[in-house]
Amino acid sequence: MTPALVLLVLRILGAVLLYAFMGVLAYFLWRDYRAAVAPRASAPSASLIVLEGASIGMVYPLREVNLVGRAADSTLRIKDKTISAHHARLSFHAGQWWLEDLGSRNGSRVNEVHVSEPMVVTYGDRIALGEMLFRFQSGQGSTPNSDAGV
Amino acid sequence: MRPGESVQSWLTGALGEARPDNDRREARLLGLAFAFLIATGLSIAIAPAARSGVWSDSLTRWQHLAALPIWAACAWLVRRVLRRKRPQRDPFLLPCALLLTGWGLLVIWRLSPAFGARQAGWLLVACVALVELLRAPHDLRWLRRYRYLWLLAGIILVVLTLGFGTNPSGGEPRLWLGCCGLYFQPSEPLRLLLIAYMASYLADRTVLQQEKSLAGLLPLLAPLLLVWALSVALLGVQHDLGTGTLFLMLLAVLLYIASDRWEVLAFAGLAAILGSILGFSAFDVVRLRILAWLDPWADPTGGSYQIVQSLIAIASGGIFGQGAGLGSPGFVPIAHSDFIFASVAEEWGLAGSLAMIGLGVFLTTRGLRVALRCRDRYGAMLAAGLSVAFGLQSFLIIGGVTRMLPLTGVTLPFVSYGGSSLVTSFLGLGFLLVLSGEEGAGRTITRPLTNVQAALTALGIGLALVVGWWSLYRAPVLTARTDNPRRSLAERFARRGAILDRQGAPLAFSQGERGSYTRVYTAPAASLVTGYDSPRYGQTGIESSMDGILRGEQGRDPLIALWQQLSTGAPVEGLDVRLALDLSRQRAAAEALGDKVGAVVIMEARSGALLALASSPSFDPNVLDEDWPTLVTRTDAPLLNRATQARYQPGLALAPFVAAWAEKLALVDPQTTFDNMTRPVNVDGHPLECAGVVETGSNPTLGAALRAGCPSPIVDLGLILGGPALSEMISAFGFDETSPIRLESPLSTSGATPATTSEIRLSAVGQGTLLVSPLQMARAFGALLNDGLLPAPHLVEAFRRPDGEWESVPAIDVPVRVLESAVNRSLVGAMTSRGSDLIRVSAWSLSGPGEERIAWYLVGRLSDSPVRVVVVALEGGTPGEAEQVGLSLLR
Repeated sequence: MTPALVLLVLRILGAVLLYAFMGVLAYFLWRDYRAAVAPRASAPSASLIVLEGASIGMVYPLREVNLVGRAADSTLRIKDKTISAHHARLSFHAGQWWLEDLGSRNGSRVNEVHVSEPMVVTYGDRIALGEMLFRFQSGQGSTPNSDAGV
Repeated sequence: MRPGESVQSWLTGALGEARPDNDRREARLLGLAFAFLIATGLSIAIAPAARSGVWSDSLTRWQHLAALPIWAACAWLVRRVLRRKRPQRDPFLLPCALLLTGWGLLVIWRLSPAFGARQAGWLLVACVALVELLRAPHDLRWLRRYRYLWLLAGIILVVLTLGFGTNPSGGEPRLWLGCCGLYFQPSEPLRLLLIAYMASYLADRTVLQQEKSLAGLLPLLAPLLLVWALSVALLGVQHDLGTGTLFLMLLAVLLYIASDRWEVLAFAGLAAILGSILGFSAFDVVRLRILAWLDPWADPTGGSYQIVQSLIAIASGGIFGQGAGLGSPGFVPIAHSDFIFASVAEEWGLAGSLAMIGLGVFLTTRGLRVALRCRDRYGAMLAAGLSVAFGLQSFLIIGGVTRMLPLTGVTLPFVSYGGSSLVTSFLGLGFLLVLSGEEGAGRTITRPLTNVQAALTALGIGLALVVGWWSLYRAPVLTARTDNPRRSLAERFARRGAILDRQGAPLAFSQGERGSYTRVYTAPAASLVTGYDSPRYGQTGIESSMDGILRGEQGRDPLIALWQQLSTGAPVEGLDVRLALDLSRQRAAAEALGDKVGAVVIMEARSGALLALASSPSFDPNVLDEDWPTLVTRTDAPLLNRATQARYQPGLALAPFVAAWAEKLALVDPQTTFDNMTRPVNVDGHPLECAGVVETGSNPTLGAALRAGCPSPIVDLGLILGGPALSEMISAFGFDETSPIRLESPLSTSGATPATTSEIRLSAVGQGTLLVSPLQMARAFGALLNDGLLPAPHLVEAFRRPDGEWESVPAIDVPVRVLESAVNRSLVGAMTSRGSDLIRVSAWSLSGPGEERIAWYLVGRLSDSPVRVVVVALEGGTPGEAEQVGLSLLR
């Protein structure tokens, strides 16, 4: 076995290992990506329906994390002048839905209670963001619930 | 992998768990990285033995393998702390960073064991620093609270270098602090402190995003700009170009991330352009860098030496590289530090450099992902700052090394040699690990971060394309450059083929042992044919034209050659080349020429084989280095091969061809008589007379005129033929083209078609615009002795295949019929004196504006077998001298 042949084997091994590292890394990332886009059993489907404001009856389906605001990077974009660019965050974690005000100008309220720190919301709660009023409901139904609170 | 465990579960690290186990993923990646480093370390260990082809203790090196346990200990230590303190960390950051570090450490150690050992020590220091950081309080509040203190400390350190700065290797710039063999560069920690400061400053000012006008932004940014200007000014005084550039770019990107306004970037771009223009006119160092970037080929030995050598190193890597330990990255200055990427590209090739760029891009975007997921703005800004700094710094130096950008002296993070750089990089990594360990899917800043991610990825792709450009597309040109020191190095390890004459006598060969071959030229008489192969002055002659064969790169099965190279480690052996040249005739020709300035061509009329191509004066390639200064300044141009490259006025040597053309067109026959045959012809005030002796008692026929070399009848023939017919003759006899014989030849000038009567008169006697080389003359004269067929001259006959058989190299031209046999016979008969079998042309031509004369003598013997033509051209000689030389060589 000449030294050059041993070296050749080592070179091939080195190249394979280097690209194995990259490949395994890519595989992990792909797995993470798949896990991220796959629907999560833990996040129940929910939506917001507009009760008062510009577009009454409109239904906004919710994701696991929803950034509500007027800005373009909001996940739930509502163009209303009483709603701040980054108004509030409505997210599901630890088995519950939470509403958190992001320092909005006109504030957020849940059942007329001002939101100053993250607050748990349950289905049927009335959520007011600026001068818009929503009802938080289960399901992503596109038709307004006939029992819409009055 | 435990038995029974599937590949997939090994990869995911998930044994029956739905959630991937990040901790185990990290361990897998680190394991792969360690395996790669072991393979690489072993390659480097046996590379010298592989190069020489024998196992020997003196040809293996094991010292650098000490880097492996040190690396493993660091990885183990960091992981131990991480598992306890930061269980939620990103699992990919550490393996990627450590892979880069270990790779760099091996490269540094392979280049310089002293630097390698020191760098390994620094790796330990960096690890301890990282571990301490990981054990610090969780939320980094301490970093934020004392931001001005950090910044002040950093600036004080840099100010100290103004007073107490040194350079460990001596000279400028003095950017280091320390003594007694331990140095660090304060601008490295300053970068970290500046990022921490800017992050906290910008995180507090969310109002930036709401501000509508750019002018409104200014008051907010003023303190920031001030601090930045101060640090850049300090570096400007120190002439550290790289750090200043990096700070400017970093500040611009951070402001953009904080404000989400593209105007900031446009403004910064404008500032950068203005800054570089100012720098160009104010600072020499900036001007030199930019000039070397714009046109490195203008001054490859001076200002752009580094960059040119770096590009050559990248080019010699090719796709798969020379192999770890087998390249010569040491030829690039500071290969272990700023130019380490060129070393990687040379030894691991495009495959390795793409992997390294990929790792860099991945670390950058992953760090930005940490920023995206941070719960608070401060963390997001800090993570973004660290990632962008890493990405930009890598881009600056890789871009500089590959000539995508002007060179700025910064290190390649994690990879380059440098203690302060390594510790700073590890601290940055530590902050990212801490920040990634905070739970949260918060997205405080989104759009600018994803934009920056995309932009930095695009820059990485750009780098990959540029590396590909140099290592694939431009590689043949770059590696063939004479200032590529690998060429002559390779020739010391692989025997270059010999150049032989037609009988197999060596003209040039390589001798010595593998590793120390030297080139020997045995026949100085043939030095203008063999040329030279010099590491300093490049190649000429056959050495240049047959280089591919002589190196062994051509002429063999490429796959077999590749296998041989891979299995024996040495470049392939060269192949011998056999010339048509006859060494004894070449020597005789050189001797006959003696001290005279001129050339001799001896050619077989039928085959076109060139038996001698002598030119005088000449040179001795064995002592080229010593003689070079005189050789290039001498006015008699000893490096010029007059046989093929000189361009002489043909004078009356053109007469037989003019006569042949007139006969071919049936305008005259050999018995045609001319009045005033011996009348002189006036050329620019100089009388041109018969060159030879006019035979007494003969008629003034065309034959007699040709035999005596009298100009007057030829002028008459020229006037009968006219300009277009003369031009036709010139191209038919090949005077308007250079005969390709695999040797340098000049561009020929056939001149314009003569139009006026005086132009025709001059052209007919070879005093027009036509210039010919002795080789062209020999070829045309060969046609008269070859039954009217213009021969195809050739110098290279064959090369020796790897199996030992000779494979012939065909002539490039093919013989062409220019005269009908009958016409040729009649002409040759007229040119031959009664009772002789010699056909000869003796002529004088006026050359140049002065009195200089070229004496031509063309001769061949019809009874010889094979028939040979001898052409002699002497600068400043007489036809008599030329005849003496010619006849002596006809034997």
